[in-house]
Amino acid sequence: MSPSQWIQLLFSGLTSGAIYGLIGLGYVTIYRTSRVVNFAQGSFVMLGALIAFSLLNEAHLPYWAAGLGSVLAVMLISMVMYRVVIAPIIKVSLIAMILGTIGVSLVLENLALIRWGGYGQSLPAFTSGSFDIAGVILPKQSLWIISLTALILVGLYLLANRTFLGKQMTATASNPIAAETCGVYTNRMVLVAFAISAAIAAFSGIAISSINPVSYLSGGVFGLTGFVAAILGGWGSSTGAVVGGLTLGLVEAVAIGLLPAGYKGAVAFILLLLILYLRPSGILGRSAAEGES
Amino acid sequence: MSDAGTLLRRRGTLLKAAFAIILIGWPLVYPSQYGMNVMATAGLYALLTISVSLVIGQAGQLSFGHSAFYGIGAYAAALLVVRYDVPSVLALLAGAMASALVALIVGRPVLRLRYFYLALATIGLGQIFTVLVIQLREVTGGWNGLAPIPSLRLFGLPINTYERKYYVVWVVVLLVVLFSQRALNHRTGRSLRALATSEIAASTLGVRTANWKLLAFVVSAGFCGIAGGLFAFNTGAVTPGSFSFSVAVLPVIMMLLGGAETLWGGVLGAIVLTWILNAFSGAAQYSGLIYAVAMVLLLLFLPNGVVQGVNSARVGRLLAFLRGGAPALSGAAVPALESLALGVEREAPRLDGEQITDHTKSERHRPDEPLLIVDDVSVDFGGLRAVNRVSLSVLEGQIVALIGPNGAGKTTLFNVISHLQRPATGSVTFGGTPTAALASASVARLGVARTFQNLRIFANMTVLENVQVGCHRHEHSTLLGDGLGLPRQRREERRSIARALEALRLVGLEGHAGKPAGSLPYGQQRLVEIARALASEPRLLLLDEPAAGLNASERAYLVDRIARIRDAGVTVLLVEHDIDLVMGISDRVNVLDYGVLIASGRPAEVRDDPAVIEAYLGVSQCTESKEATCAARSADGDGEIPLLSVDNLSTSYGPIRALRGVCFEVFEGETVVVLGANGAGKTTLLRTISGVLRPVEGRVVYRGDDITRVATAKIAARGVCQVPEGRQLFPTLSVEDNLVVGTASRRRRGDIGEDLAFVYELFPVLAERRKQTAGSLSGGQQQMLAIGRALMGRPELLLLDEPSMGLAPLLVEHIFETLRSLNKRGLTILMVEQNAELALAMADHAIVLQTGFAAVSGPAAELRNDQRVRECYLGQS
Repeated sequence: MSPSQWIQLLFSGLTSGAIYGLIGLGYVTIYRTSRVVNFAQGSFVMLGALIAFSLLNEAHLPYWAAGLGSVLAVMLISMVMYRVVIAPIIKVSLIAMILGTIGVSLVLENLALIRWGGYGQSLPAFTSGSFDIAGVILPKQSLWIISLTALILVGLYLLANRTFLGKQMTATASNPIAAETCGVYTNRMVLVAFAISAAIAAFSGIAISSINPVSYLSGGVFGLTGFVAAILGGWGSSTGAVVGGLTLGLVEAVAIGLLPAGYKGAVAFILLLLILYLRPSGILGRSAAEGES
Repeated sequence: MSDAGTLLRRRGTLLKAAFAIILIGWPLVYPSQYGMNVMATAGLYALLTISVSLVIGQAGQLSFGHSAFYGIGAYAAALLVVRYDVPSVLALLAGAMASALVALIVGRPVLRLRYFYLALATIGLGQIFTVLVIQLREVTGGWNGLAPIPSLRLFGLPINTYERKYYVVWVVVLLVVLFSQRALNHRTGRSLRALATSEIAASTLGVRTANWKLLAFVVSAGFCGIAGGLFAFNTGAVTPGSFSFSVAVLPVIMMLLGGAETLWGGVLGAIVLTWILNAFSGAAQYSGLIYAVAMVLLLLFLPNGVVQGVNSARVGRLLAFLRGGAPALSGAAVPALESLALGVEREAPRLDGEQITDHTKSERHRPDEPLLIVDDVSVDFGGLRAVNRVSLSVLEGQIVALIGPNGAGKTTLFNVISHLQRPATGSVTFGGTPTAALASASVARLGVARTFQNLRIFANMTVLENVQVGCHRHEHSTLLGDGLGLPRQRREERRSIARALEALRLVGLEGHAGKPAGSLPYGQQRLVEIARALASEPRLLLLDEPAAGLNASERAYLVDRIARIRDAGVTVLLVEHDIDLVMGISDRVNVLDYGVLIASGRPAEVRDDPAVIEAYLGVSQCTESKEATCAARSADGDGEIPLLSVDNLSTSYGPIRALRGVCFEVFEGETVVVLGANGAGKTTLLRTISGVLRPVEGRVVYRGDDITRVATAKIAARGVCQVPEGRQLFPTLSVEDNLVVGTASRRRRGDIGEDLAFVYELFPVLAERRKQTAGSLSGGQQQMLAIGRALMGRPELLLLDEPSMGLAPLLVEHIFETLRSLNKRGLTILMVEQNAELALAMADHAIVLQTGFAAVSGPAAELRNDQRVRECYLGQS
């Protein structure tokens, strides 16, 4: 491949990487407040894209309104999921909690199959067109995605460090009982975390669907890749999730350059397993000690 | 009675036989090709469900790798037959071996992960498998897969009709179930269930947990591989789509449906769900929704499965018969078992009497050397030195106690001895062997057994099984022996049943052998843990607070049992707060304070040691005693409403009653202190008032309102703020942010600046470090921050839990000085404190708790000279 092709490839890797990072941010936001690992995160991504698609093409709303409506709808779904399924199960066991979020994601996926069928749907780019810099074509959508990811990261940082709400959420994460005794309504904080996380996921879904068509099955792939990103960068850290996502996107791009395109789906997991082999303590060090109840 | 047990087991066998006969018989009665086809699919799912039950249900490892192993088995078998003309039966077995081999290679690193890491890594395996299969087109045929695959040939007979396929599948299923279920009823199953509940407890009984996890993983992969091979031969084609994520999830749902406890349940679950999904095959897009909703509903309403969920109902009882075998032992079944065990002419060494002494002598190196030598051991947690250069030794045949105030490092030292905790300096030598290089399971295998302060009992197993895990280090059988029931395994099992019953007899629980361990009252669960440790026939038994949560008669019983254990030749090292108990039975007492060994000697010597008295009661640091200001209290008579009144309050932790009917009142402007030894219920009392714990009876009334059931955050909003035990700061937040979170309880937060200024004036050092994270503060600063955080809520009643704990005397004085001035400004204080002298000096009123009761109460000045207070801490001399 020519150098300009490589640059092109790496740039598109960076774009996917930003999206993986965004999805990873969704996991981290929930985990940081509630210690819940939400395997339904990918379904939120998928629903974000498909609901926006319907609002745009069936309800004929303007693009911005369709996007906003979709984000709000997914936030609502996420909060209902927490109240109805996760909150009761969380006390049973960690395994039940993980299985519960997987169960919810399957329900959402199958509902999406019934509603939208098996075909991939695309949304238009936020603004069409691209920049051509010395033979390298940079789509405007990619720039949108990368800068909005940075913006969301900054927003989350400000939320956590500058707002009273964010501080209460951090307090809830680090010691729920102590937070309660300080007067923090911890249940409400977790609910807020689920809502924020769903909003990020829905937004990532909308952002992706202009590049990759999204079907009911896309949630699984994107969700898992985003999760891998969050782990690669150091589980539990927002910046880590984005860094992990970008790394993953670049590695995938290199793999696409060197290997047949079909191997792309395995890159994230091979990278994950390699990290687990080579630096198990680095990642294990952050996992729960012995989660016995 | 003993007949009932055999009868039960016979009926279990009968029901299983009936199940098998129905399976074999119905195609003859009702030869429906559709039915047989569905059932053949159900059989494959049953195999997958069994493998899932092994790994998730029994070993507690959340793996989703089975779709990959299923696929590997299928592709390997298909390739061998299609491309290399390998005989089909051989190919089937080779497929299973290939799956097992892959599992063996990836298992060790992957199984080191826990929970969602493991789930994700194993989902990744499935993903990688699919990608490889699609990409390696020359070998696997890519998306098109491999076809046609000739059918299986058994002894020349082609398995090419629905009927034959059905029978082959179900014969395999039945063989696998019988084999696996038998293994699960014996040592293999016990080890897996034990490590699923607590890897720590299992390893301290000598279970090499990593090996057992790997075994379960590899065997379950092998079963998946067989299922995959059968699938390939039955359908005549393999494509990547047959091994998708839903293949990994469906068996989990089937297991949930049938209950994770027995494999038979999972088989039923597989049959039921396969039929349900087939009934909806006309509306294919709904089938996924149905199993997904079923999964969520099962988790929500029947987390233990349908089989367990309706246990009381007739269906449940029916299925209970199906289970049979050891796990379903009811109390009635035990005598039968015992006679079985006694039938083997006492091969097991008895725990009482001389045999055990012989046994230990044979292992001994030098009789004059101490059994256990702890030499210069230190342990650091972050910057905190929990154990500081402790040296002590334990002579064989003694009962040695380790006592000290909360946080003195006793349990940490225990963890070093059983090698759950690596020391920063020093070494431990047991029976002449240095333990530094050993894993905790290996230390256990040398003959060190222990119990845990917070019970780590295997609640999902019977009492007998729990204790049999203790026998683990003397047993050798593994999966093959357990599954096939080889004669050697049977002899060994009889021996360990005898040994376990012997251990149960020693603690007086032989009558409860068949009950689920989780169903026993707390005191008996403690005894089960002791019996479990005893069954390993240890040379050294470590008992960590065996009397915690026991009532008086249970304690007396326990003392008697510990003495009998010593008489049986086992050396005992004991951590205990019940000072009377310790002084009564110990040959030697070691006292730890802040991680330092401050005294060691015979009980009487230690009791009169001034250093010990100081460690427990504290020294008076403040000479001016508050005049007995009974003014507030006497206002009682005038009908003044108390600020807080606690009425007949009782609180339990599960079965442990920590508070028993405590009554007292706190009036506005007072300082009331709650004293008492460790475990007396002081912290429980504060946590019940602040709503973190809910009482089982009694009321908490604040300003005339009943706040017993009010949410914790709302209690804080009423002005009851808590400085919790151990500070409980938010370590990642800055000092100032910790203070800001303290205002969460307030409705109006506009004037936070004032409160910050007030706290910074009170504790100037916090102002200097306002940008630092709370985790980086020293202990004293953290305590100040905890108090400051509570003050930010503008409390009317401040609850303080052990404000002096772990602090240097000068700091303690500073903090108490601050509290005194806050009190003078009108803040009402309810304080729990171990340093009795100090607390009594500043309090108006005091209550002394003893094992959950308010033993003594009165004006603080009077209690300062009250002999009873001292007795509550150090026992009666």
